Order: sequence, then structure tokens, then C-alpha cells
Amino acid sequence: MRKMYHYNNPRNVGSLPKNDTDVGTGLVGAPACGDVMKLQIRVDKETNTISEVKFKTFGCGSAIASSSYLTELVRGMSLEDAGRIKNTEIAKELCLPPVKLHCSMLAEDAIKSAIKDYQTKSNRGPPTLGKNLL
Amino acid sequence: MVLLLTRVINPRFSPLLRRTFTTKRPPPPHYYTLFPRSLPSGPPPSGPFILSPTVLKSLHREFLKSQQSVHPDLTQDPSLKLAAQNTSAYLNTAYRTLGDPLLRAQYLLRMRGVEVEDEAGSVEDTMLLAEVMEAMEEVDEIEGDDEGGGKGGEKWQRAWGVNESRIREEVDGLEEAFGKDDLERAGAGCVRLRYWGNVKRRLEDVWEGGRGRGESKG
Repeated sequence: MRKMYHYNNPRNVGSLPKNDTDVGTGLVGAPACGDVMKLQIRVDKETNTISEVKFKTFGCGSAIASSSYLTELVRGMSLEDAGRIKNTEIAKELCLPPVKLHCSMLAEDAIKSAIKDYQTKSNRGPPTLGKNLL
Repeated sequence: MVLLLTRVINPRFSPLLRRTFTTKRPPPPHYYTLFPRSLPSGPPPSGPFILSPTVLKSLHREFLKSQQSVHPDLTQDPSLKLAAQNTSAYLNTAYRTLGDPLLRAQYLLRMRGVEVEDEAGSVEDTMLLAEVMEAMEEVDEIEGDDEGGGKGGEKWQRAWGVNESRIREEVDGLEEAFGKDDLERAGAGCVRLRYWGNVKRRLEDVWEGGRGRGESKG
């Protein structure tokens, strides 16, 4: 049911300016599906929480639903909490079948990459698009 | 007691039985050996990876001929019929696999023990992902652009041309990688080819005005 909601009405589709210093970008892919997922977060520097989230996913319905659900989940969360999200949480919420578990893993990787990218950037590093995670 | 019995009988639980079970059944023939006329030098590195249009045509003829000879309707014997059906299905898969560069490359890697479709794997090539993302966004733009340059227009043609040359480049790369027996490089090429295949399908969707927005089978 909920999965259908995120599938039919994906939330927060779009992009944030990736060069903004308070924006972190995670770009991940899964060879199993040939999926590509971009997740961007804007971070409130005062509170260290996520104030805005956007995603773009080209892939199967489960990958789109996973990223859509994730954006709703992490908005307003502290970076610490967001970094602790497990894919099982997403899979459970969306009732993903075992063969689609990797879609939720992709979403978990994406938020981790986005956080890492933001942290690298705020230490005045170049944008990594999450490369450092790997 | 029943449980104990199944433990003894179930081949999954008995290494001895498993061994007999697997040794009894020889591995199915390599796809290349099913078409000796068209693919006389076998799989790479001894034979080429790229199959020329002439070879593909010959492959098609050889495939049809083989299918005729194993047609299930040729026999009335039920057990032979079943065997014929299996062989026929196997031939179908073999032909379809060999005819497509991505499927062929994946098959060749699998036969060598390299799993390219590992579910838990992730793509580490950020440059590739950025390029794929950009290409997909461009297709979205083309789809939304109803006036000049929309579906099948100039922009579509250009995007199609760019993507076709990407595919050609990857296939050439696979030829080289398989020729040198560099399986790691071939595996990376497979991942890229898969992505460009998805971009191609998206472009085809847009051309047909399909609404399969960013969806792939996977």
C-alpha cells in the first residue's frame, strides 16, 4: 500500500544546486539493475539537521519508491541519525520482496554518500559525490 | 524419524549424494559449441567477441536448422518429446544470448566464474554514474520538449547518435578485453554497456511516446 503511494506519487523529485556549500550529493548505482540514484541534502549548519532533500532515480519502481520514502524519512533528521538508517527499515516499510532488497541498499548507500559529501565539503574539500565512502 | 530420513535422502544434506547427483549430470554444452559452423573458433580469447553481420546471419541459419532437427513434434514418445522441448528451449536461450553483445559478454564472464550481476554490488565509478545521470536527464528534457526537437526531433537524433557511439565504444572495449582475457576489464565494460542499454531503451520509449518513465525491468 505505502509502497504504491511512493511509487505512484514519488516525493521530492528534483535537484539541489550541487555547488552550494550546505548541499551534499550522493550518487550511487547498482549493476544488478543498471539503476542510478542521486540523493541531495541541504544541511542547516546551526542544528546540523537536514532541511531539504531531493532525489532523482532512474531505475525500477522499487528503487524509485525506496528513494522517495527515504527523502520523507530523513527530512528534519540530524546527520547522525540519518547516517544510521538501515536498508531493512526501508525494505520493511515498503514491503520489498527479497529480490528487491538491493534497491533499499542503494537508498542507504545514497544517504551515506550524501552525508559524506557534505562533510567533506564543509571541511572545504572538493565535492566527492560520495566517492570517499567507497 | 521422518526428519532423519529426509536428512539422509535429501541431496542438499548429503555431500555424498550431492556428489553423485552432480556427477551424473554433465554440464550443459557451452553455447558456442552448439553453433560450430558459425563459430568455428569458439569463444574468446580463441575466437572473436564481436560477431560480424555475416556471422550473425549464419548463426541465425544454423539456429533454425538445429531447431528443425530437435523439434518436439518430430517424436511421439513422451519422454523424447520432453527432452526435445528442453533442448529446443536451451537452443533458444543460447541463440538469444549469443546474438546480443551484453548478454553474450555476461554469459562469457559467468562461464569463467565471474558474476557481473551481483545483487549486493555497487557501482564505484562516480564518473560513469554522473554521465548516466546526465544522459537520463537529457532524455527527460527531450520528452518534455513538445515543440521543435521533441520526440524523434533533432535533439532526440543527437542523443541517440551519442548513445549509439557509447555502445559501440563499449563493445569494442569488450572485444579487446576478452581478446586479452582481461576479465576484470570485461566485467567493468559489461556494467557500462548495461547502463547505455538502459539509456537506449529510454530513448526508444520516448520515440514511441511510451510513458514508461525511467523504468527498467530490474
